[in-house]
Amino acid sequence: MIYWYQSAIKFVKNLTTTVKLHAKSMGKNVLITSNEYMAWFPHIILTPYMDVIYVETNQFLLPPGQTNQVIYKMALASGNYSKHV
Amino acid sequence: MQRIMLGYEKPPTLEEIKRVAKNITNVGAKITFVILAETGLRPVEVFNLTMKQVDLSERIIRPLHLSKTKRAYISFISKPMYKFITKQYLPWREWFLEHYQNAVSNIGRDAEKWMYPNGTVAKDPYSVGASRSFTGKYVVRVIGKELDRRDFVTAMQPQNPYWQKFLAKWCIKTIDLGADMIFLDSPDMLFTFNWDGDWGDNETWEGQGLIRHLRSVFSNEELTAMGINSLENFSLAKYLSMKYGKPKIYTTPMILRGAFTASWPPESVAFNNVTEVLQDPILENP
Repeated sequence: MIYWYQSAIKFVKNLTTTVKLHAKSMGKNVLITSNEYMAWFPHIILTPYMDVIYVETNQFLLPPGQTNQVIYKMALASGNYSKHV
Repeated sequence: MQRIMLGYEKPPTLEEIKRVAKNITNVGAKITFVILAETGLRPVEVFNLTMKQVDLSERIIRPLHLSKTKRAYISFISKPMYKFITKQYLPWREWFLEHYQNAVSNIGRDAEKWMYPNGTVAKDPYSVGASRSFTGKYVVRVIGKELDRRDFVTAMQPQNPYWQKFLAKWCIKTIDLGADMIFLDSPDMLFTFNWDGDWGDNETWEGQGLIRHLRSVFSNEELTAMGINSLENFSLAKYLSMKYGKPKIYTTPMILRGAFTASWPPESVAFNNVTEVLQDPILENP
């Protein structure tokens, strides 16, 4: 499982680095964004490579045991709590 | 050697050799220099060395060199070199292969054409790019039923270098046209999982990525104990089927656009004893 997540992280990391570098060479700052379905582990580990995360609260059922959907999703979507959601 | 023995030249001292090694910054160049200095192997032997000839558990290099003039069977790896290989060289090698293996194998070819890991040119980006199900079907989601037509969304393999380059190229084009923001829809492989993908064998990029990962996680002895004699043609689907019995497959095959065999709803794989399968070292070990 970790291997598959690593593949996704590498992909996003390389892609965002390439895109950001190109934008910088043109004197621009491009925002990289992605969507957040249910604040699941693979989403959270991608947050360091994103400038903005969109929270989509209506797409999937929540993980079991969660009663406060909005708070749970918004808190976890921020990953390391450095992102505004 | 002859000039040194005749007194015309002096051999470098151990300190000088160490100083040279310390000043080499490229990890590949450094390991080459250190092996040459420490083992006494000939340059051609070092350049032809493969990982199969290096036994790290015993700290032995087997050059397997046999000629009329030299019978070089084994050399030894010192403890500092062993530390350098495991801590610095192997991670660097992984990075190097990932970045350059494909580029090197594509020299002289049309770089725009998408290829399989073995260098075969793919007939289209989907055939080489789409993730594969347990039975090898393309991992897609069929949409547009309401509109009475069959469109599909494809889950791509993130390990495929062409896919990454392709996406980067289009992101750059949109920036050049004035975009200030790039939105990546589900780059986390969530859909690849949900649509039962990631089963590609050694002929796919995702399968090759898994093989590289297994090589880095398990030793040869551990792989043998698991019943894997060679990773070269490894297929996770075949491995699990042979070890735990053929699973029941629930699938609805359909041919999309006359070219792609996919399944919608996603293909499901039911092993007889799921708990046992999940405890397999490959699935249990990260």
